[in-house]
Amino acid sequence: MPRRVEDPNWTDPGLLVLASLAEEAKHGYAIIQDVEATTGVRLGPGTLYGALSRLEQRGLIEPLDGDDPRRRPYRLTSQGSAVLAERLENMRRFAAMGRRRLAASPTVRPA
Amino acid sequence: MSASRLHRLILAAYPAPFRDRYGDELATVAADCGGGWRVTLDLAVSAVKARLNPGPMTSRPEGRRRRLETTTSTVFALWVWSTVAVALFARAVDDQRVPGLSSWGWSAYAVGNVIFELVTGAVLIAGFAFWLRVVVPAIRTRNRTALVPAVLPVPVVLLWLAATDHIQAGNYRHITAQGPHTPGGWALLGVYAFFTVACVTVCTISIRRALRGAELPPPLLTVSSLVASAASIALMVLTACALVCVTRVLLVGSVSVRDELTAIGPVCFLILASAAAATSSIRGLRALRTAPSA
Repeated sequence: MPRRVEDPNWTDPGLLVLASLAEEAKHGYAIIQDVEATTGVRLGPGTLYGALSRLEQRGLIEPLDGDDPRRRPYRLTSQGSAVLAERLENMRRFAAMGRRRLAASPTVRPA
Repeated sequence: MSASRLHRLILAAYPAPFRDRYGDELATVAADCGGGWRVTLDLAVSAVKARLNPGPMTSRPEGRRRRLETTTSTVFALWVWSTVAVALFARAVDDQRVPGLSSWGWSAYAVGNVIFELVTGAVLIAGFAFWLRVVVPAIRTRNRTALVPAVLPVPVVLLWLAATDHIQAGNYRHITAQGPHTPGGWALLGVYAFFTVACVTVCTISIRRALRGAELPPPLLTVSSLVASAASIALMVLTACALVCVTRVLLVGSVSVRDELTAIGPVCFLILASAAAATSSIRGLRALRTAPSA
């Protein structure tokens, strides 16, 4: 089946941002720090705001009113939560399938 | 150059709607990240990506409006700049007609000339109509933000008309007396080009500011973008005519290298201007097709 362009893989900045905002609303730099701490991926500011603009446009996140407009926090919308849950479920199924096949392989044993 | 100044320069390269929406936040996060070449490179690459794919921003009402304003002013500026290229091209092939330039080469030149005259007239009429549409409400509402930049081009254009009229008259006298390729003739053309580029630059900046200040209703911006798209198509046809004509000039073979370069240079400019106008028009048309989300 051809890859759906809209579907982010796990290193996609959009998915990383969604996963970060699943915990709580965060502003841009807090997202960068959280993503780096949890996945080891360092998002650049340009990459981050490219992802934020696409996610906001698709209605998956929304900005909140903050005290400082230069550190505007964002949060997941209900649609964003649903999309994230669907992606994570797909990834879980894929990971489970991969581990099953590895376990069944006569030459390779999963660590 | 400090990192923050460099970042500000790169931020200026982002599309205006993106800058308006995320510019302050992006600058703050870039400063929080502490600068460094990785941050700078990431900002630069993302600016290029945002330029190549401005889709997400143009579906916002404000982004769509800015896109249509940009298309209108960009195509207008490119068209008027092309008039300088057309004057140079005419200098090369027509002021002292290239020997042997006939049949399809000359037909292409004639067709290009007609298109140029017609579309220049149409652009001027459409421009005047939009100018009235900006100025009259601005006078009524005393909207200085729109009125000042809208009125500024008037004396500039009048000065340009007066100056270039004198220059053209002097040019013809000069050519008749001494031929087209004398230092004096080129100096006159240089003065003409300088006046035109200065005039267009002032007018383009003023038009952008006036359009932004006037906040024209979306239907009018739609019309202006469609007119700009039509002008882009005309510019492409004009460029094709110039390309055919210059091909004929090169095939004739009896032309000096100087004349060949004088003819090829403007055609190269017209090709670039056509490509830029077409790109801007396509983006404008895409923005028109995108239903604005609230």
